[in-house]
Amino acid sequence: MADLLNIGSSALLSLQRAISTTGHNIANANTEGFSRQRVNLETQPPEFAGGNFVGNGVRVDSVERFYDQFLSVEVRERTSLEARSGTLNDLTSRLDQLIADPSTGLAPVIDRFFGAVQDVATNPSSLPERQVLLGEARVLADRFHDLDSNFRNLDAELNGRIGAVVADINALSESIASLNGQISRATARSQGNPPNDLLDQRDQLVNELARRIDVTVVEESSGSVNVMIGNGQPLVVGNTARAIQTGASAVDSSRLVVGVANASGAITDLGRFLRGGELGGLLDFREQVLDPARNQLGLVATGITAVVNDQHRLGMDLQGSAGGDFFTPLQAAVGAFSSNSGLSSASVSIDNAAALTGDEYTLRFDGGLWTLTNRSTGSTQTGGGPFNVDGLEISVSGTPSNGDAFIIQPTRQNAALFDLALDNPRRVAAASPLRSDASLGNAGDVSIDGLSVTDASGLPLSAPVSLSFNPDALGPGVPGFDVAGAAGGPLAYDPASEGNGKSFTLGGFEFTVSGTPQTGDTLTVVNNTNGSGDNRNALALAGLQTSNTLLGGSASFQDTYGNMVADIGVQARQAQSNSRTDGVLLEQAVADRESVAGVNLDEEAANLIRFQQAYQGAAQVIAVADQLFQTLLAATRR
Amino acid sequence: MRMSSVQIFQQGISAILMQQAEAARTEQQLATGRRILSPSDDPAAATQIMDITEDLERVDQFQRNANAAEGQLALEETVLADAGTLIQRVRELVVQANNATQTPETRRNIAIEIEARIDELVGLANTRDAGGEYIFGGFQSQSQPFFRQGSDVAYAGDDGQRFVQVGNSVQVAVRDSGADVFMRVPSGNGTFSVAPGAGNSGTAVIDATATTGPFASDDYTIGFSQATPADPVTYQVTDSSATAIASGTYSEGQALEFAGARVILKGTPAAGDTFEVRPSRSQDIFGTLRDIADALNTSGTTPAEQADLNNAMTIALGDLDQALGKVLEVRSDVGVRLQHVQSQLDVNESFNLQLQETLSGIRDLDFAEAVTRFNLQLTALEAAQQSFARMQGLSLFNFL
Repeated sequence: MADLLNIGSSALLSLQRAISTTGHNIANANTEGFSRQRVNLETQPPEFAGGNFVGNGVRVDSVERFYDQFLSVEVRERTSLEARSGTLNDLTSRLDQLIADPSTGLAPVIDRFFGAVQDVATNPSSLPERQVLLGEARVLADRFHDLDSNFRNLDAELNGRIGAVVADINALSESIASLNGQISRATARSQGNPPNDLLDQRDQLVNELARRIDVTVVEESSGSVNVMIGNGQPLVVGNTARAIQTGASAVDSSRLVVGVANASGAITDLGRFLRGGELGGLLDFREQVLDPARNQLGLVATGITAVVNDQHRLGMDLQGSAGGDFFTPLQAAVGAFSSNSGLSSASVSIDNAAALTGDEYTLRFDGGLWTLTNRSTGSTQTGGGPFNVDGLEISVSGTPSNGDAFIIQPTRQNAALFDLALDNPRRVAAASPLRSDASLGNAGDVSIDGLSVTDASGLPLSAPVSLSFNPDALGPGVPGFDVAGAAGGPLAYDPASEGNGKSFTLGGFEFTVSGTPQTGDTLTVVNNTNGSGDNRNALALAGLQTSNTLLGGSASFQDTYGNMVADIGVQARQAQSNSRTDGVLLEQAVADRESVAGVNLDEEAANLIRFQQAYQGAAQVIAVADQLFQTLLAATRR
Repeated sequence: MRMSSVQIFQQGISAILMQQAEAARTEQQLATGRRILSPSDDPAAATQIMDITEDLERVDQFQRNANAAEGQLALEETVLADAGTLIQRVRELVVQANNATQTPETRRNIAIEIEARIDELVGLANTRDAGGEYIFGGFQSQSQPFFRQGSDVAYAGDDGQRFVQVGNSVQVAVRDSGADVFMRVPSGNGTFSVAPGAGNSGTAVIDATATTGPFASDDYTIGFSQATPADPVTYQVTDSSATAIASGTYSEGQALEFAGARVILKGTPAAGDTFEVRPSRSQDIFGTLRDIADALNTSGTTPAEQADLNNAMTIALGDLDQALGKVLEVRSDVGVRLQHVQSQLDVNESFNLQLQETLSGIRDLDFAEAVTRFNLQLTALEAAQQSFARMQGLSLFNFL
């Protein structure tokens, strides 16, 4: 009888364990990272009696969690990817929204600015139109500042988020390290039986970490895991965690970089190795979306400034003086690395705004030579300097040491620095500084057309330049103009064959002569004194709106800004679709894991019924044993 | 596949969220009437929209410019029409003054009117537009271009001409230099001019001039000689180097032809009388009027004085015709430009319409499609919600 009782009670105990495990599963149905558990039952060793092995009841072999390592790794990796593309998508779509409303973009203010130039061209001597032009130019400057400050605010926000994510990463590393300790102690105590719930907790923390940054996990035989990031930088080793830090960038103190502190306390930047997760998304957004957008906006600002100034300087204002700068000239920014020896310096000037690309460059000294690298394309130039690249002239000076480096950001800051140089409407150079006259006494019909100034350095003219027709100017029978007041004469001109127009360049101006002059007919080019009704330079300025003056002569100002908008749009679209894809893949990975490890309440309900019935059966076994025993007692009580 | 309870829940919820997001997006499209809400919706279309908007702005600007140009040209046309009428009136006066019934006294009266006309013409030439600019001053539009200098009228402006942009690659001149309108009028018949010698004593007057071929540009002198009063009058034409190039016996009304020029004289020249034939030069209208007034003021009654006056009046008529021709030429040019501007206004208008259409095609929402889509999305959302509720209501525990 004792055996039957034993069998019954072993079943009761084991089934109690099974029921409570089912209860545990039900209780944790909504716990994230929880893997359902089951009790593995096995028969007790049988008893050899009467030549037969007789069953001896049941016992609990183990409590096992449903867990598939491959599925878990898949979920972790997908989590990293999804977090990166999700972050990138959030930020890029915010940038996309910032530029979405065309009325708050740059395009309408560029239109209005050039519209105001047209109005000045229509009424060159009227002050109100000029005042409006200056007003529109200020609006243009404000819009540049607004757009740039949007970008800068995003940049500042990124700093904050990077700091917060790094703090999260460090806190998670600490927790993982401490769980590592608990797990290895528990494993040692249980002689190999896994502490399921602790393992689930740790897996969950590693997943949380993977949501922040892409990690590599290596399992030790002791049951603890080592976690690495980037190019093998350890984050958790056994039960110790190593912190990563943030610090100001060596070239731009307004920016946070992520790295580890070296012996001297300085931060070694790991940025380029850190991929995946929210942190990867933040860094990628900064580098691949935000910086290029700012550079491109700066390029538009630099381009408008340089191109408009060049034309404006060829003009003459209402006071009769040569046109000055319309916008404050913009320079390319150079930053020295904080690790530099301090004995060398680099300077950059913008030679040709049309050739600017919006790319950034690094200049590094090594082995006696400087190497200039385009950070976008990777193309390099090596030599002693100066370097000419993409419209920039970069010169170096001083006595450099190996490792001295500079970063060149030709346009990054320029949208913020864009400003109006003029404040007096009379200083708008709508006129051209020279005009041409045909003498009233001319017998023939000859005129100068299309007089335009190409180089204002020799102006104003100290004396009028006069062209006088002479049938023998260049020798007997070779007609042309004798030139007084400028070098470069006589000019060959044959009315018979060239009467439809012939172009000449003299000093700093060019013009076309047409018609049939008589001997002695004179044409003069004089300073455009009192030329307040002249609008030639204003027309030329207005023409800049549609001429392709930027990106190697392939794009207008508007096109260049359009490129930026399109780039952001394309990137936002790409980020959106990547994020969607990664989201679906993550969902799938989670579904795969859940199909193994997740709790299904119906299933648990069924299990409850199953174990309850078995428990009731086991209880009946004990009752039967009791009855058998009572029967036996009754039989022997006489 | 085995599903966990959390997963069933999640799946239902995320389906609902997704349907909601789609419906919200369509709702936003319907509310704004725009297909493209941000550049990422269609980056290519976004830049296209930007380009078209820029074009629209520019067309608007061109319309404003063209309207301004129209006003400027209309003003100039009015002034030129007035100048034409004025010259026409002077021409009538000259014809009237040339009439034999006039006396020196009445001619002086006519001269007074002509002088008044000169002032009027200077006034016209100094016309200012609504903005206070002198329209015939060239680039120096803020300073008065024409002013009296002694008995002459001098031009202080320049040859500058203002252009206005009225189309993408269309610039139209909205001003003309005063020099071109009033100062550069060819003298004589446009090719050459004939003037009597200073001391002519005969009664020969210029009747008509014409060109017979290409005029050999040079200064020619027609000299008359008569050995005795009984002899016929002979003429000789010499060029600037005193070489005789034509000669013959003179008879009244005979055409003298040389070097591509034809000169017909009336009356009888005295021996030693000369006529100078010069290549046409440019002269100003004011000077022409001045000369007429001077001739009228100094007219006399002797046959020689009569001949002088007749000559002066003939020359004056020729010069006035040239002046009138010049003014008409500029005026018709202005008319052509005005027409150009007006047709450009139409071109711009239709370009504007076309751009609006293109823009609408790219940017605007197809409402019928969007409303259909919206209904479909709402149905799908409802379905997702209902199936979620049904699914969640099922549990084995309900039956325990």
